[in-house]
Amino acid sequence: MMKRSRFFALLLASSLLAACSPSPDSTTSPNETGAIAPTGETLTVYSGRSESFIQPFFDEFEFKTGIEIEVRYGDSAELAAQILEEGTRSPADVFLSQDAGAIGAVAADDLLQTLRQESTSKVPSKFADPNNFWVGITGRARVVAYDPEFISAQDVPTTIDNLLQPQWRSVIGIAPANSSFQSFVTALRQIRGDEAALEWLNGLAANDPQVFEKNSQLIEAIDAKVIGLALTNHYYAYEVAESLGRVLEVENGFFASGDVGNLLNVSAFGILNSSKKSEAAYLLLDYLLAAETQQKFVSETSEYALLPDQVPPRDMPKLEDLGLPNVTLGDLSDVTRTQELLVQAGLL
Amino acid sequence: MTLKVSAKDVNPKQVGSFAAAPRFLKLLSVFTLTLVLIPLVYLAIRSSENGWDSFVSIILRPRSVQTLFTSLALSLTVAIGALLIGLGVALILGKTNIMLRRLLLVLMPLPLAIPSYVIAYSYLTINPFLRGFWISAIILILATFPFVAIPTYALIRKINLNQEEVARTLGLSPLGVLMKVIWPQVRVASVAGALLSALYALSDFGTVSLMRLDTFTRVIYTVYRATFDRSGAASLGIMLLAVSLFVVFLERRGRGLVVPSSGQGRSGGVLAIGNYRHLAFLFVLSIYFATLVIPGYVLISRSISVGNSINIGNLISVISNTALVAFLGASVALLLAIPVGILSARFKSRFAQVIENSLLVTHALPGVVVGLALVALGARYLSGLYQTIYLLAFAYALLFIANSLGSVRSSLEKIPMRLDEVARSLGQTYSQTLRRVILPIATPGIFAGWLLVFVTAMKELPATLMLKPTGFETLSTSLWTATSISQYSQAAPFALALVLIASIPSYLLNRPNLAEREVMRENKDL
Repeated sequence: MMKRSRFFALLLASSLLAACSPSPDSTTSPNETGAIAPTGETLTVYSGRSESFIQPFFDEFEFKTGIEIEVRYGDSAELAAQILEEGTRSPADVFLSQDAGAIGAVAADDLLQTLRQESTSKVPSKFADPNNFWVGITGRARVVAYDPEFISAQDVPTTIDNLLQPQWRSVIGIAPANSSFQSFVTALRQIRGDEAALEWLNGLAANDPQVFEKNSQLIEAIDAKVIGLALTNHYYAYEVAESLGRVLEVENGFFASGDVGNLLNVSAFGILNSSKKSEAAYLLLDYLLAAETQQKFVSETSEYALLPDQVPPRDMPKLEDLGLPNVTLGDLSDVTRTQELLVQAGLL
Repeated sequence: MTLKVSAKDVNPKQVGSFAAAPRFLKLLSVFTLTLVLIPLVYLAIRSSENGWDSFVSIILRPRSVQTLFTSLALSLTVAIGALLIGLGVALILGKTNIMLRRLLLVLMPLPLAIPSYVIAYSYLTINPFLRGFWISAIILILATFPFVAIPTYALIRKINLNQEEVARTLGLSPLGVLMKVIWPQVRVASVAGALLSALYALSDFGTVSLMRLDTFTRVIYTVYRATFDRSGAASLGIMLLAVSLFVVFLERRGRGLVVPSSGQGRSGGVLAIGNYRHLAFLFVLSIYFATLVIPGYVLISRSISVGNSINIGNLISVISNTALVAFLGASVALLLAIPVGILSARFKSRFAQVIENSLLVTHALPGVVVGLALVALGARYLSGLYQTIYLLAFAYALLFIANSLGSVRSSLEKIPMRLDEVARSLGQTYSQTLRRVILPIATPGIFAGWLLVFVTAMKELPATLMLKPTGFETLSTSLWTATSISQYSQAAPFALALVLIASIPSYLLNRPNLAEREVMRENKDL
C-alpha cells in the first residue's frame, strides 16, 4: 500500500476534475478514438482480486501501454452484485473476478461480451467459459489451512464431512461472504444436490465456526492462534507471510483426493457488454495471459499459471496432482441459490 | 423613505403565522422533505420487490429473528450500562469534591466525539482475540455514556439544596437522598440519554463488525455485499429502520416531560461520602482510562512505530478526500435545512411542525440503511450521480440534516420576532428581510452547526463504504480496509488523523454548550 502515492495523486486530481465538470457518463471520454492502441484512455476495472495482488500488474500494464486503469476493489461477490444492479449502465469495462462463480452469474445475465476465440484458446478449455463469456487467468486451489502446533499434518481432516465433528467446534474459520467460499458451496451442490449441501452447511453452522470477512484474515487468525484451521485458498498463506515479512505458523493441507474441498477455481476475466473500450480491454487481457505475466503470477502471487506446461507455485503440488473433484467451472454460476442456502443456514 | 404602514402590509396576526410564510419557503421545505423521503420510500418498494410474501418470509426467518434479538439485546444492554455509568459519573462529578473534578468534567463529552470503531480498533490491536457480544457492549457503553452523564449532570447541579437538606434532617442516608430526592428529578433526562445510547448501538456498524457480532447493521452489510438479490438486505434494512424509529418515538415522548427545576433557593452542594470519595475517583478515572487513555496510547504508539513507512502523500490525499466530501455533505445538509429551519422558527404552525418532526426523525437513520437505499436508487436511476462524491455527500446530508436543522432553528429562534415586523414595515419583502436582517444575525450559530456536521460526516463509515467512488478512500474507509490483524499498525496513522481532525474539533465545538459553561457558572458563584 506504500507505492500508491502516484495512484492517489491521480485519483485526487481526477476527482477534483470530476468536481469541476460533472460528466454524466464517464465512458464517453473525449479521448476515446476507438483506435487499436488507445493510449491515454482510462479503463475501469472492477477487481475481486485484492489490491496487494493485482495492482503491481496494473501498474506495469499502465507503464507499457499508456492506458490508465481505474480500479474498484471489492469482494467478487459484492462486485458481481453491483454489476447486476447497475445493469447496462455499469461504469465498468472489465470484471476481474476472483472465481468462476461470480463472473458466471454476471455472464448469465447477458452482461458480458463473447470473447474472441484467439484469446480464450490460450488456456485449456476447462479453464474458460463454454460460451466464451470469460476466460481464466490464474488457478487457485481450495485448501484447509491449519496451525501445525494445533494439529499435525496427518490429523488434517480427510473430508469436509469430518469438519462437522465436535472436535472442531469453535476453531474453524470461514469467510462465507467471500465468493471463493460460495463457489466451493456451489460445487458441493453440484456434486451432492441442494438438500445435502444445506445439511452440510447446517452442520457447519452448528459447529460454531468463526466468521471473518476476508480470506487473509483467516490466515492471520490462524497465525495469531485465534482459530486452528480454516477453509481458504492456497496462496493466502504465502501472501500474508510476505506482507508481514516473516514465517507464519500456517500450513496448507488437502482433503483426500477427489473431495469437493479440493476444488480448483480460477480468477477470471470478462469484458462488459456496455463497455465502449473493448480494444483497450483486450490489450489488458493479452497482457494478463502473456507467458511472462503468467510466470510472474506463479512467482509473485503464488497462484497457478493456466497456460499449458507451467511450474507450480512454491511447494504446492502440480496442477494435475491436486486430487481435484469432478466439477465443471462453467456450471458454478448459480450463486444466487448458493447464497439462499447460506442465508438459510445462518452463515450469511 | 416613506413609511407605508397599513393594516394590509403588516397584520400582526399574520406575522409569524403559517399563512404569512412566503410561498418559496413552503415550497422549498416540501422539496427538502421529499428529497429526504424518496430514498426511504424506494427502500421500502425494493424490499417488497419479490412480493409481500417474500418480505414476510425474510423477516420471519430464524436468522432474521436471531439478528433482531441480538440487536435488541445489545441496545438494551448498552442503554442500561450507559445509564449506570452515566449516572455514576454525573453524580460523582456533580455531588462530590473528588480530585481533578474540573478537568474530568471538561473532558466528559470527549468520548462522544470519538467514533466507537476507533475504540474497538485500538482494543483489537492490543488483543486480536476479542469478539462477540460483551466486548461490543462494553465499547458502546464507554463511547456513549456521556449521552446520559451530560444532561444528568446539568440537572443534578440545579436540584434545590433545600430538598436534600430536608431529606437529610428527616434521617435519610446519602443513598436515601440519592434514591428519593435526586433520582426522581433526573430520571426522565437520564433515561432519554440512555435511549440515545440504545439508538447509537442499533445503528453502529464499525464496532460490531470489528467484533464480529451479527447485529442488523453487520448482517445487512454482509447480505448486501455477498448476495446478488438485494431485496433481502432491503427487507432487513426496513426492519432495522422500524426498530430505530420506535426508539426515537420513546425518546421523543420522554423528552417533553423534563422536570422543571425549582428556580428558588440554592443548588449544587456536595454529598458527604467520606472515604468513598477515593473509590469514586478511581471509578471515574478507570472509565476515562478505558475510553480515552488506552485508545489514545495505542493510536500514538502504533503511529510512531510505523512512522517511517507512512506514505505522507497518500495520507494527505485521503485527508483531502475526507474533507472534500464532508464539506459538500455539510453544505447540502445546511442548504436543505435552512428553509425548514426558517419556517419552523419564524412561522410556527402545524405544517411546519410536521415537516420539522419528520426531518428530526432522520437522526435515527442508520448509515447502513441510507447507504443501501442510495446504492439501490443510484445504480438504477441516477447513473450520472452514482459512485460520485455527490451521491455520497447527499448521503451525509440525509444522515445529518437533523443536526443542521437543529442549529439553524435554534439560531433563528433567538432573534426577536419584532425584527421581522420592523423590517417589513419598512417596506422590505420577506426575502429581503431574510437576506439583510435575519440571516446575518443568525450566521455564527448556523456556521457552528455546519461545522459540527462537517466534522461528524468525516467519521461516517458504512454509507461511505457503500457509496464511495471507485478508488476514492476516506480516513474511515482506509482505517476499515486496514483492520485485519497484520495491518492494525498500518491503520494507526489513519485512526490518529481521524481523531485529530474530526473528533477533537467536534469535542471543542460541543464543549462550550456543556461542561465549560457549567464550570464558568460555578466560578461566578464562588
